[in-house]
Amino acid sequence: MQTEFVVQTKNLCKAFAGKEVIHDCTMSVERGTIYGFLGKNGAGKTTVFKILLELLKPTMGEVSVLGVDSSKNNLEVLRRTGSLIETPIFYEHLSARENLQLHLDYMEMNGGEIAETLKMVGLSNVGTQAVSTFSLGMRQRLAIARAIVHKPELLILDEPVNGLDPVGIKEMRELFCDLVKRQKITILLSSHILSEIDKIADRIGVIVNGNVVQEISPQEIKEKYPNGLEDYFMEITNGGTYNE
Amino acid sequence: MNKLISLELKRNSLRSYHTGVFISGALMLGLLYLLAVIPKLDPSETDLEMFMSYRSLTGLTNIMLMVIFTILSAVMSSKFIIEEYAGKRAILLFSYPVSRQNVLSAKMCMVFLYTVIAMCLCGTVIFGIFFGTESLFPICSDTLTFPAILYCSFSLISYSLLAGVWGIVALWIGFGRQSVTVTIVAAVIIAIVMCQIMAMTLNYLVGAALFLVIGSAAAAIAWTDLKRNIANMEV
Repeated sequence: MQTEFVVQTKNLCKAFAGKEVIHDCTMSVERGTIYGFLGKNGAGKTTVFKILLELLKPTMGEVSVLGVDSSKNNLEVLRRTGSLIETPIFYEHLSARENLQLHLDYMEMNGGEIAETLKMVGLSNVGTQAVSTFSLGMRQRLAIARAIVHKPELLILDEPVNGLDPVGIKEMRELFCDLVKRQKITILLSSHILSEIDKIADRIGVIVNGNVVQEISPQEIKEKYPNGLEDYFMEITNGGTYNE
Repeated sequence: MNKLISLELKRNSLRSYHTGVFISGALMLGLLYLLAVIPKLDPSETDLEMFMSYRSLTGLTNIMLMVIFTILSAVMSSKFIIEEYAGKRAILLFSYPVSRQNVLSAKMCMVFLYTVIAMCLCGTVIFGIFFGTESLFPICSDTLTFPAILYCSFSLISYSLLAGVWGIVALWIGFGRQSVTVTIVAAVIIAIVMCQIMAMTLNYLVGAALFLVIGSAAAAIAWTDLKRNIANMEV
């Protein structure tokens, strides 16, 4: 059976003011899986995410998201994708519900399950509180809610559990697994919490200095690095490119 | 476009701008009466013809309203456009499956229409009260006639449109620097310069019409360039 890839990049390059920050980046994300994207600070994770969403234009290379060339038809990609990039921005004077309703209006979706989505992320009791009063953890949960409320096919999440307490991290981990299992959503996420990636990712990609040096499954990592993902990550990001 | 404009109204509060318009209107009404009273304060002064006719008084008032509303337009543009596209806020806007140019156009339409409609309403109330009291207890030595009121109406509409277009030009200048300060300063400079030039054509609507054509052309160029910038913007 041919594998269906929801995200594919080939020889992707991106330069800012002549300096290449992404070079020859090739990666692929299979449908219905969780892809953990790892890399040190400044490696290029967020830049790759932004290129996938056409927030940045690639200097060179091919990008395909949901079978669509995102440089040609990015509105189609945005309609079917939910994202959380960098620090989430909200309309501070509006409540959580109003922010989500506005999001659905822009997505041209009527009848989204706002209450159900807020419950899924643990924000069912925020009432009419303005987002300006939310804590960091609540804002992060609301950002995740906004990414999923319109029932996308693909989620691109940049450090989604940033700022959450351990209970929240566990809840979001279970939510992501549930979304993949029940709604067949594909999730591409980055995180610095290696233990979380280890627990949920079906495939791991490591980016070093703008280049995806390896894509590997957690099982293969466990076989080669019995001490866990941290040893693997330290080796590969400190110059040890590993050839399968 | 209507839907995008309604979404803009949904997520942005205009209450403070309504307050600003109300206060501006009240102050301008007071100033209009003051201008009308000036010839009576010193009857021996001979150089006050400007304040002795309704055309001049309404023309002066409309020019000052144009200055106020050009700056108001720049303030609104700064809040709803410059701040939205500066920094990381644009990530949210660009993540919606809506054409970037359409979103920008909706914002600019909202600001333009608010400026024009608010100034027209403000002016209508001011002149409605002024002409009402003038018809009963005239202060101005001129005779209040229907042509004078008609002139006032056309002048008000022309200057309202001018406030809207100069606001767009100020936005264009400020957007290039992604700066709220530059937008507002540009609006102040444009408004003051226009104010001086148009004071010379006070009694002739042809002058206002000519500047409206020039301003509209500048605003059209600004609009096109802004849309091009937004389409190519990276965040």
